[in-house]
Amino acid sequence: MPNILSMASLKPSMGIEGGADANIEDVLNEVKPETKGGDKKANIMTDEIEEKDTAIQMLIVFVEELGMGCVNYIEEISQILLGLTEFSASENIRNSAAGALPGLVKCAKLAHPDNIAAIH
Amino acid sequence: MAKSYSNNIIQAMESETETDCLIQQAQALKEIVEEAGENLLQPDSVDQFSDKIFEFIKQSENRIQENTKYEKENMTGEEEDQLDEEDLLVLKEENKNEQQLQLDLGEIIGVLFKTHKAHCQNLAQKLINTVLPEVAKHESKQKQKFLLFILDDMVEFLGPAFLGPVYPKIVEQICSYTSSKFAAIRQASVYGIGMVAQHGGDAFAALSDGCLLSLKTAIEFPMDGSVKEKKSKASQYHHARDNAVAALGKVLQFQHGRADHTALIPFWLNQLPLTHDMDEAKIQNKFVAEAVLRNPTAILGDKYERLE
Repeated sequence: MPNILSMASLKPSMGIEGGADANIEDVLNEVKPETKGGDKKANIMTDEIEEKDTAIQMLIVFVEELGMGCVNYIEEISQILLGLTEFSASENIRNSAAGALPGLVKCAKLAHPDNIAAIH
Repeated sequence: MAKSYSNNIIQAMESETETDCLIQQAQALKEIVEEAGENLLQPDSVDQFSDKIFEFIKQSENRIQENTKYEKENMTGEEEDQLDEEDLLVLKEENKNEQQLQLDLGEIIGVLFKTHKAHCQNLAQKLINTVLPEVAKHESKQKQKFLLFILDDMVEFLGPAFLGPVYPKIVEQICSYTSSKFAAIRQASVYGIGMVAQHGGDAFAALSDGCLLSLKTAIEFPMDGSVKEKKSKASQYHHARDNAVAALGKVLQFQHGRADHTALIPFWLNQLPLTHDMDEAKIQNKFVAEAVLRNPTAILGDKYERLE
C-alpha cells in the first residue's frame, strides 16, 4: 500500500522548451487552447500522469476488494483523492477520483457501522 | 467524511467541463448521500443541496440548447463551413450524454427523498409546482424518462401521507405513460405503479381501477415489426412487459383486499414466468411459491385447475 500511495501522490511536471519543469497545471494554464466550448479543460497524457492514473486505479481495487481491510488507510487515500477531483490535466484521473469516494464511505461504514458521526 | 466528500464533488462539478466526468461525479454524489443515509444534511442544507442539483440540470440543458443552436447555425451557408456527418454525430453523442447526466442528477433527488424525507417538503413543492410541469411539456423520450424517474421516487419514498392531495394526480400522471411507444417509458411507468401498490397502502383502493387498467395496457402493448426486427428493441420491449407483470404481482402481494384478486390471479399467472428481467423474475417466482404454500387454492384454483 505505501508504494501505491506514493505513486498516486506523484506530482506530474511538464516544461516548455527553454524553461524549467513546472507543475503541470500551471503549464496548462499558460498554454490553454481556444475551443468551441470556451474553457474546456485540456486532457494530456505523460508517463507520470499515466503512472498516477494506474496507481489510483489500483487504490480503487484495494478499496473495493478489501473493504474494511483498508480502514487504516482511509484518511491517506481520502486526502489523495479529494485533491484530484479537480485535476485539470486528465479527465481519467478526475473521473477515477470522484468514482472512488463512495467506496471509501462504504469502507468506513463497514468498519464502524455505529459511528454515524464519523461516516457523516 | 461524507459531507466533505460531497462538498468536494459539488465544487469539482462547478468547474468541470467534460460531461463524462460530470456523469461520474453525479453518480458518486448519489452513492455517497445514499451510503451516508439519514440526516447527513440539515433541513436547510437539503434545500441548498437540491438547488445546486437543479442548477446543474439547468446548466446541462443550456449546453444542449447551445449544441442545437450551433447545429442549426452551421447547417446553412457555404458548403465547406457546414457540419459534416461526423460533426453531427459528435453533437448527438454530446446531447445524449447530457441527457444521461440529467437522469443521474434526477436520481440524486430520489436519494434525498429516500434519506431525508422529513426535510423534503420544500423540494417536493418546488418539483410539483415548477420543475415537473415544465418538464412535462416536452414530449421527448429523455424528458419523459426524467419526469417518470422523479415521480416514481416520489411515490416510492414520499408516499400518500406526505404528498397529500397531489398523490392521486401523480399516480394518474404515472399511469398515463403506460401506452407510450417507447419501451423504456412504459417500463418506468409500470415500475411506478408497482411502487404505488407497494407503498400506497389504503390510498391504492381509490386508484386501483386506473392502475390496473394501465398495467393491462402495458402488458398487452403490441410488438410491432420494427421492434421485432431489432434485438435490442425487442429486449427492451420484453423488459417493459416483464415489469408490468411484476407490478401486477406487487398489487396482488401488497394490496390484498383492495383489488379483485379472483380475476387478477389467473391473468397474472398466465403472464408468468418472466423471461427477460431476471431480478423481477426472482421476486415474482418467490412470491408465487410463498403464496402457493400459504393458500394453494387461491393461486391454483378451487380444484387445482391452474396446476399445469
